[in-house]
Amino acid sequence: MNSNMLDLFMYYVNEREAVQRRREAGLVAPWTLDPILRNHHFCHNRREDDRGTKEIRAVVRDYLCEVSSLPWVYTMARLFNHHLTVRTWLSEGEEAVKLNRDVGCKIFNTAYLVSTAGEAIDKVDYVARVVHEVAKLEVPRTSCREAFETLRSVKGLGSFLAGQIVADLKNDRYLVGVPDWETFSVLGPGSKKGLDYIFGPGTTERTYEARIDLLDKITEGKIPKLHRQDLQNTMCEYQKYVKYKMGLGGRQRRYP
Amino acid sequence: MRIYIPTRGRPPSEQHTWHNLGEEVRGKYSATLLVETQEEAEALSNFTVQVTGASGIVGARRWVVDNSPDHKVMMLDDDLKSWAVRTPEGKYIKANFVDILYGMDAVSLLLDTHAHSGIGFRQFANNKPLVDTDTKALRALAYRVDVIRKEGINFTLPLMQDFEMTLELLTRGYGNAIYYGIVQDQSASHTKGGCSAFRTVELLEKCARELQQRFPHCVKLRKADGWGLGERTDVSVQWKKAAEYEQ
Repeated sequence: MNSNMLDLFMYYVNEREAVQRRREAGLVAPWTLDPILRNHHFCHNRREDDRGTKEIRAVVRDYLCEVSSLPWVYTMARLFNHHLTVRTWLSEGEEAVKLNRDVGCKIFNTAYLVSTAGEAIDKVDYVARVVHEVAKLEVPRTSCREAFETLRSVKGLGSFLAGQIVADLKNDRYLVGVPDWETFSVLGPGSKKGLDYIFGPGTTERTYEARIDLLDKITEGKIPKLHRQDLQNTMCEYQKYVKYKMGLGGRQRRYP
Repeated sequence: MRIYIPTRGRPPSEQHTWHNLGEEVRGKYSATLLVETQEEAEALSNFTVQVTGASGIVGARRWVVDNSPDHKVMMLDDDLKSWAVRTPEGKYIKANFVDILYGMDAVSLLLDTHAHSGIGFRQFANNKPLVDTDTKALRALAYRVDVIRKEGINFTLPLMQDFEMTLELLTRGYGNAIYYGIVQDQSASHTKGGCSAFRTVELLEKCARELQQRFPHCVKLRKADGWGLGERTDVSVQWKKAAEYEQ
């Protein structure tokens, strides 16, 4: 294990937390002296604090969405990742989303790209097909893992999006009280790199659980308490931080 | 799930739980005030009221077990004045009707996998997990009455019958799950109306002793003060120990 990289991870998480606290306290920018945190965009340590998540949650609340509808609602929400589109769909349906697009409105958020997997199809129709497919499913409420596996079986929902939807479902009633609420997470490309920085190369689906478990244990009390999906997400943000620090290039999203 | 609010001696203006729930929650979960007599029902004519003919809080709770058409029920004390919602950081801020609705939804879902549930109480809530298991339930109690009926048990004690049922179910192997995404609180204990009409030092002692005798491995007697009753006998319960015990 690389203790320097572990220390850097804990520094990153704590400083990111401090930035959030200072900002929430109403202090004026800059909220950190760290030039990387000051100049680049990093998600919050807790996904529920992210603006995009808050905006989507607010729409779902406004429409008083029933628990049984949450899997398809959050599938739609994460495929567009844009709260105004979610609002349009819930109030006027998918055709209204197309109309908005046709008159030049932004309907997708570009935080991550949703493709039609090479299929020649209107992208909104593609999203609608995935959403309707999920609406037909009985997504289990017994565990995050089972919900994840069910969602992942839908064509058009890969591991990343299925994980995002599970994160929504566990934070909005659907998966309340399931046994793996604290411990469920899935490996993504960003968190793989982050774990590799700390534990050395070799983070795979097979080694992931052991590594993230160990990370959770050795950072306990040294960083804010995070459930496993947030820890995994933070690992992804941390690898971005390392990339900027080491000048490794790649896609950059500057702040503000 | 249906919400029942046993009430006694409280006028319309003091139906805090009813008012604070909001129209959406009351409608979705068919909230109903339970009163003993027709006279009390007439005093609450603008509310959805059910006359049970059953005496006291224990009678009302028994009536719910025996008569609820829905297997999932929630029983709320009638004086719940404040509701707070948990923030992602684990702090609590004033709740609105959607937060309360979400809380009821969550409890209803928890009753799919647990025989008893409830909404957490404000005191010491900051250190609680989002869902706490095998623990104390207070003031906002949810049950699967089909399980209670199947077990052939019911509420019997005139006071502390909330502890009684939690202990009965825990010791029979039915764990509970209390939801702390929202929490409830009352303005004060032992206010006019409700159980204060018949709560005495003697009755408290009698109920405490019976609980201790029925569940000696996890209930201890202790002396307490407050409620304007002077020194009284109360109980300390080891909830986890109760859940580990098999009757």
